[in-house]
Amino acid sequence: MDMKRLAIGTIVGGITLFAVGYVIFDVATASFYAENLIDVDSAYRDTPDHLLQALGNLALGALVTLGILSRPGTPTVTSGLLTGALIGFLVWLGADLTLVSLTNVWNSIIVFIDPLFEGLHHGIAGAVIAAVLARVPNSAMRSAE
Amino acid sequence: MDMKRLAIGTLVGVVTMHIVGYLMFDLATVSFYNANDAAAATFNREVNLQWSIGLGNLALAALLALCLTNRAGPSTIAGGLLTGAVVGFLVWFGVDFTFYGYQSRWSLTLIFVDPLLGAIQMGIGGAVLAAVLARVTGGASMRPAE
Repeated sequence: MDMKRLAIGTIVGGITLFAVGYVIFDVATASFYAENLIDVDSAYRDTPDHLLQALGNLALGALVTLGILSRPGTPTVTSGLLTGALIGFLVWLGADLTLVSLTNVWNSIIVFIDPLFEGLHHGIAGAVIAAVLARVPNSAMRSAE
Repeated sequence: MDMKRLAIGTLVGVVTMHIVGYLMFDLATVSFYNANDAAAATFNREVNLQWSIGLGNLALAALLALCLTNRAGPSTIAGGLLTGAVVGFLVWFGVDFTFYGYQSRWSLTLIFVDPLLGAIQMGIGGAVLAAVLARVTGGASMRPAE
């Protein structure tokens, strides 16, 4: 495992996930989510804690980067997009269904829509990560030069 | 992509993760979660929806099976354990902190402990999944000469 590429991908992924996530979930679809919450007032913060969200995005950025790096060959924007979208969809389908099984905060519509938005969210991040990693030389290739 | 191995891995993973998850989160640590959940009385269901947890585990097991079937070389229990633990930790660290950014239900202690428990759950799932995949012969992509 090339740790430098993993670190670069994780940071790029974390930043991209944070920026795209803000646009998708805090701006574009905020009213949709608010309408489908059963009890907004007591469970949700008045203002999202962006520092902790960024920390969460760093972990998910690492996961997408690991997925991209585990594929053979040089990363491409298309393969990064597909890998990120698949990971984002599966992660959030699993997480959302688990959340709904334990709580009654969300209604069931969100559970099936949210993973699609997250697939888009992580797909964009995967494309950006792959575009950056394609320009970062592999350590093993450099040491052979 | 060997679809047979992917399907078997997903099914084995979901069964294992559901059983381990039930033992860990519904029995062993339930009081810890309730103690760190500010909204336990008002938001939490009186009875968990097992079908929804099962569907959630199916998606996460598919992710784990994709990781393990795409790895080079034969599946080993240690490799499955490590892969499952890394995937489980990153998934739940990312999800928990994202939810924590929006919601005030859970304490910060729980946000750090939950990904570790998630890593144990998915690590066990990965180990069992890898043990089964090691005994499953590959599909067409692994038998080009036959």
